[in-house]
Amino acid sequence: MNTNKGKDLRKLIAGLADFQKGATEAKSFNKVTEIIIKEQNEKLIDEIDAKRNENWSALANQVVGCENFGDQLRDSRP
Amino acid sequence: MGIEKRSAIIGYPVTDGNWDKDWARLSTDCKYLTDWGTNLLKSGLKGSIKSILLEPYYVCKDHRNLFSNFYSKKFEQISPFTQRLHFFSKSVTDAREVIINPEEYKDAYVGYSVIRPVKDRCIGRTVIDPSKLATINKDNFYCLRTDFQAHIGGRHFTVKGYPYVSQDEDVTVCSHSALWGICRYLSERYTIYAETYPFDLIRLMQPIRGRTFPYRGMTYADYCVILSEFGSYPILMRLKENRNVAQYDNAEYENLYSYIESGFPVLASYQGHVVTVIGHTIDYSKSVSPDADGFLSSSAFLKQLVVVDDNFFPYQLLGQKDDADNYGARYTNPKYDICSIVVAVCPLPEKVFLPAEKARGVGLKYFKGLKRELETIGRGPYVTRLFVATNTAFKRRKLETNIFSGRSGKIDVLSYYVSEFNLPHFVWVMEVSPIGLYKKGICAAEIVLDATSNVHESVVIYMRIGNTLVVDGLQRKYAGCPEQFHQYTHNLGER
Repeated sequence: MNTNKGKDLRKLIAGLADFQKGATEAKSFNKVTEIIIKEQNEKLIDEIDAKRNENWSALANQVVGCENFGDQLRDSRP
Repeated sequence: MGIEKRSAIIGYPVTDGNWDKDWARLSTDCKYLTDWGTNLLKSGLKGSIKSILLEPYYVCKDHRNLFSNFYSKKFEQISPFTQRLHFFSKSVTDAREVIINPEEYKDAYVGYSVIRPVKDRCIGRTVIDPSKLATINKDNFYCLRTDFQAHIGGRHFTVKGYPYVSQDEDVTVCSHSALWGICRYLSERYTIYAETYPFDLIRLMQPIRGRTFPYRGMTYADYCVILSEFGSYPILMRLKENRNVAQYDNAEYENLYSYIESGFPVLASYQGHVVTVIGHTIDYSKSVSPDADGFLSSSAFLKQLVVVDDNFFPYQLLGQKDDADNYGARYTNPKYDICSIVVAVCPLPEKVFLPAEKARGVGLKYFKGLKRELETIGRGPYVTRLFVATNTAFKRRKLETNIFSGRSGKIDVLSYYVSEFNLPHFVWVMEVSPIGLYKKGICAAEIVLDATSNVHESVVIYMRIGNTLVVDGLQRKYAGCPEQFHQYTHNLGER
């Protein structure tokens, strides 16, 4: 239940602008950020994406090139 | 049938006790209503309505579009007019009551169904409010709905639902029905999308495999072209190599779940048939297993997907094979269940550049790296929930649900701060809760990511663990602020 009706909300809620006043370095957070950046920079290709793309290409060719397989893939069930 | 200019709207009281007879009486006057259509409507509306109004002549923009482009070219005469049924959960003995005193009937309006003058599959544009259906468990049903307007004798009625249409098996097939539903839902809800009619979808098909009508099935490549032309930015998920493979690609399944949780309708192909996934149900009593780090996705509690399948009344439940409520078991050769989805296509808005998989990877890395901090709020296992939200809706819900949440009597200043952040149009949000809190709708932490970013950029906008806020590599603990806050609930129509 809101028990603060009628009070001056500006006194209760300081703005985000004062965040830096009491802020300290987020060491654990920054360490994870460094790990993510390092991993991304070292990654030449996204292996999961590459594998999926390989399968997609094969399937796309079959749909266009093979009429029977294409028919199976069509969504047309009455 | 030519139009009869003096033709009154007719009211039909219907009761559960006299259900079949009442519908038989209606069918006599509603000439276009076939046995298939009658059975579909009867199956979904039983126990939910007490009266039906029949508009004997209705000019339906969707039917007229198909008539102008296709039916008018046939030798057999098909009417350009349709009929329309309005459903009420209140007894109406005379249609004039509704027109003279509409306010008394607005809350009782369950929805409408256009009846088309075609063979068999006669159900045209239909919008039914699922929250007014007796067949649906409202406490455990999360699905997309938006407002549709209807006018009865000049009186304005609103129904909140997801649009449905059956395929006519002549010019349209299941894919058209599903695509039409998605396009109409989006255009009705967001002004950025133009209203699209059934034959527009046929025109947007590529004739690369021959003519596009009558009756040509589609592939997911067709869906992508059509949804792109419509103005969305479809993303593909390949869950299985083909329908004979039993196991999903887990990452793709998680992606599918995240897009559903984000409030996007998703085309789901069973390979041979396609439906639209518009929501889900939950089972918190399920036995779940966290990963080696003690985290699990909220998808572990998913019970059924809510789907719109043109062969059945809208809002069917697609469950596991052994689920007694799985509508897919009513099919024969093959039967369908939740594992039947082979490919899914989600029409994303343009500015969701960061895909679900990448957002999940980033979010999980941070939470696993900061697990010690998380443990100060509550013991694991930890449930993660990932979804996209618009900047506006996210800020609004934070202000509505959290600031004076009353849980601890403290003011949640961190939820207020969200309204002061400069956010992109869309954000990815990953919420984390100890499992006990998750089941009560409470979070202990969240990370908000820029949906327009890529993983090489500064993805994180802010992170909150308990009452500690992390922004731009700095953190600050707000001792007077509660450590727990409410989950974001909005994407699937929750209040």
